[in-house]
Amino acid sequence: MMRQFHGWSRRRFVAGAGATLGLPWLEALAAPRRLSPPPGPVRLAVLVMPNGVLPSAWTPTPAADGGFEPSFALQPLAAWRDQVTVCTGLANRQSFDGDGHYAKVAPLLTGCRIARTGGRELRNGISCDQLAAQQLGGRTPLPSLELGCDPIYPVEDMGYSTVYGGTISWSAAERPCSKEIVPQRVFDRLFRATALARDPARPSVLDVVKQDADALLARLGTTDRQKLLEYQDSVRDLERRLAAVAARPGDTPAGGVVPPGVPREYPEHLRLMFDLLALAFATDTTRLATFLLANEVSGRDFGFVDGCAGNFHDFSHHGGDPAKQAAYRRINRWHVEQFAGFLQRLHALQEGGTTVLARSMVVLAAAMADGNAHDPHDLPVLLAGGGDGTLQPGRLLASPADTPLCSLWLALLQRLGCDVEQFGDATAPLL
Amino acid sequence: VSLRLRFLCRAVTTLVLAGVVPGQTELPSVVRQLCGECHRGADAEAGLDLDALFAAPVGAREERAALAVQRLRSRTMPPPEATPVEASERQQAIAAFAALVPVARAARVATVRRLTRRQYERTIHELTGLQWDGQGLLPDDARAHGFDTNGDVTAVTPAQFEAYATAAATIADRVLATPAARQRVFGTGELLAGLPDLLARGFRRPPTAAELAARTTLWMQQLAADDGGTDVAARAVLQSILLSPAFLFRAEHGRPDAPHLLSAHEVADRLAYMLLGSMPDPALRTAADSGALDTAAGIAAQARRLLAASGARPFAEEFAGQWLRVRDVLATNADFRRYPQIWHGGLRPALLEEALRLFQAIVADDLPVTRLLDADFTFVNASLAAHYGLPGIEGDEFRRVTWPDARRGGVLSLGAVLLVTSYPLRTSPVLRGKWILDVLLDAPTPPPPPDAGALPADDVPVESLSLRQRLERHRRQSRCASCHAQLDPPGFALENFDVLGRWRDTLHEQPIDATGTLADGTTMQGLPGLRAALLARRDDFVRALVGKLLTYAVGRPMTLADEAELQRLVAASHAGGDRFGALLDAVVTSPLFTWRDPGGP
Repeated sequence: MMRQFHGWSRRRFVAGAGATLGLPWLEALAAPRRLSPPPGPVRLAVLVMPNGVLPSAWTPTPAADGGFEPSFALQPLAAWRDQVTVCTGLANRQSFDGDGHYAKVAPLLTGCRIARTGGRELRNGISCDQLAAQQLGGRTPLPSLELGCDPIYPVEDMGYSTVYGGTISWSAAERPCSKEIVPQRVFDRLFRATALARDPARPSVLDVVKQDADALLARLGTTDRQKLLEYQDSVRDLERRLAAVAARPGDTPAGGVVPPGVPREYPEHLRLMFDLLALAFATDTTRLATFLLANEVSGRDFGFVDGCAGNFHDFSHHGGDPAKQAAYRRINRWHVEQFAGFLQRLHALQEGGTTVLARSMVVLAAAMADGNAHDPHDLPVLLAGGGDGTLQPGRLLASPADTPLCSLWLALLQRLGCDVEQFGDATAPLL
Repeated sequence: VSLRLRFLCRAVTTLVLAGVVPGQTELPSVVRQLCGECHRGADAEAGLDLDALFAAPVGAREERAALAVQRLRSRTMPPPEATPVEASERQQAIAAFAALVPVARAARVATVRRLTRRQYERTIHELTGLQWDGQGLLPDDARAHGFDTNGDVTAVTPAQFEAYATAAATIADRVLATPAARQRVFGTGELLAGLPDLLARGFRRPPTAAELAARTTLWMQQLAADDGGTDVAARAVLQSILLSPAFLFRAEHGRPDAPHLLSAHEVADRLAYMLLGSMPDPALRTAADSGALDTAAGIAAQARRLLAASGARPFAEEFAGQWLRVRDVLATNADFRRYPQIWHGGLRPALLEEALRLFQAIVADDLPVTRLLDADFTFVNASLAAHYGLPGIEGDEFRRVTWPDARRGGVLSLGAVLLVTSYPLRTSPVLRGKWILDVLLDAPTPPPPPDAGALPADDVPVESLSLRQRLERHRRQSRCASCHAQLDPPGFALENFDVLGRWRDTLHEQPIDATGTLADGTTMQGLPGLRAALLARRDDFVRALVGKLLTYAVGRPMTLADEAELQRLVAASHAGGDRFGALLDAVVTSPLFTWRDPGGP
């Protein structure tokens, strides 16, 4: 069979990736090819930044039009005001009485109380992205994508496993989802099915193993049959996905364009991960993603931001020291800049007469307000994108104090098409 | 054949004896003797009227009968103040209660197993000679009943099959690019001529005509394809083997003439994955082909050969690593502020290595298995020696050293064991006691009620109560007492070892109290006392090891219906001085190992 090359040849991908692996190649890839996934696929991306924010630098003032006047930290959003809603008053009540950062971040997307444990019998709840993945994930080659930048070291802090500080996606109460931190691995995970589809012998090989399974199945007892039936389903699933890849109008990118390993510089690492996330959405490989920008209690040195050389976690415990506060709020603003950059990427991706951003729901949140006091009230939450016309961005949405954050997740789950009436401690959607 | 037949007859007798006694009304005399004094009549202790229990129909007796077995096996019953009980009487009483619990035939047939990730890697190594690391591609395997070799919890999800497809493609590429691997897999002649042998290796049994025909067709088809060639065809054929359920699963059908008996190749498969964690080696395949595995002696000889040939290393990694739970040490945390040494000098890998080497030495030297409890030696390198306070050891190599005194020795003083049974901020007598009951005695206590409460995470005294005092207070609640009387005392005997397994004489400036009174009334002091108490329960320890070994090798938990055969294996082990080889001979020739369905025919 002749392979069709529309816009997306490997050569073209490499050329586009070339010097600045970033937005340009995405545009180059997207422009000539009409991305036409099923009508109106709504995407959800939840981005979480560690160590809270400085409230005085974060909370915006209302504007006359119902929108917001950007605060210091939100200045990078000035050009995106009509695409972003700033939420205030949200909180996760289940995190109020837990010590430290971990009890705040692990339940951020679950609304549950975590068990204080060093690793045995971890306990949280299912996170909103995973709930959606379990209901809707079958529609895309990859049900969901979990990204991060830091590995989890198997240690223990204040009686909590650091798994809690490094995991926001949970597929079940006791099952943290491991996150991908190596860009090349993300790429492999996105396009493994594509790589497999490239082998012309693949269908014949799968035919042979299906024959083996049929013959084996005829000889097995009931319990064993269940195992083999699951195997058979998995073979068929791969066949279906390979067929789906083959039926797509263009070639998908080949591996080797993403540099191996973890980039030494954090901004570069983050940029690559955002590029891959945008690519995942653009190719409709997945519609659900979480991205933990750094593990909680991150002590990263933000020396690449003016006046921020030092320890991030230390800055967040500013104790009122103006110098530390200055660094803290600049780091907050830097995170918002990255968020704005991601919005720009999604906005540049045309899709079915609209943009990927217009069909997405992108959240930036932190698990604490003021990191100095580990304050779990009035969490910083930004919601961007149009949700395929279901969101009305450009607002300052002030909720009564301690409105469940889960009511936002519930609202977003319903917009994704999930069959869900309540989530965590929320029984009514925020929007 | 006659040996095989005798072997079969003996097994049938054993299994009939283990059968369920229906509609029994008479209380067995041994039960009347041991338990009757307190547990008969309307005012029986704990509301347990044995006459009523033995007369009760199926459905109304299992729970209490199983609990009675647990109490007898853990020696919490009869209570210490009663007349001492002979071991044989205890066994008869256990058998009498076990007979009240019907065991479904299906519960004694293992579910078909998928290769674990580690088995997959080792199998690829045996098949191709290549070291292939599946970590990061293939997920870790779930464990059930202590082992990852249980088919009930292994699955092939869509994501996993995709990973297998990726693995097969990668491995096939590497095989074709590596002359030695290529020759090992495909031989030197025509691929088609070598195909039956390649399939027999991959599937660990002679291939069926259909399996062979499908690959032959695939080969021809790929050769004829536009861009075909021998490499393309060979690649496709190898992938069709690596992705086949016959490769990925260890299906057992039994012999065509007697499906409850495993075929020789299935016995070989069980032996190889038990002792090597991999597919049969060439000599074992030859033995299966030639009929050498049709006799008990032949099976035992191969088992011993496999251990000798591999130095018992894979066996230690796969079985002991999971049985003793020492594999978990790599992922066990101590609080890094309180115990910064958790980071030092590769401590956790070294602790694992020590544990594996100790087990390996006892198996490879064919020592009595009780040496696991009282070996006076261990294996350390310089940094581990420093950790334990042993002077004069230099270099990264592990070597055998003798402990200077009886304060240490055997698995109970392994740092790996002591760390996996601790909490990050304190030791846990309860977890350590539970480890002893679960791992060494196979007499686990029932899980705690959900509202049992928890002790503080730290061992810093709160309200001037030490952890020991708190536990004692907890034990005074009657519903907690019966389990904690079993759990806590052996755990307290290990209190001289801190979270990281280092010796300590004091805790928060108070001297350590390492005394405890066991459920059977024995008082003991520290590890030497605990060790003596466990050695006095040699029967139970060997029974536990035999049961764990079979659970791991066969892929299902032992049931009460297996109890009689397990006792026979314990006796056989004793007859061989409890040397590991004798115990292994008994296990691998037992119908529990060589039968697919010991509830049959």
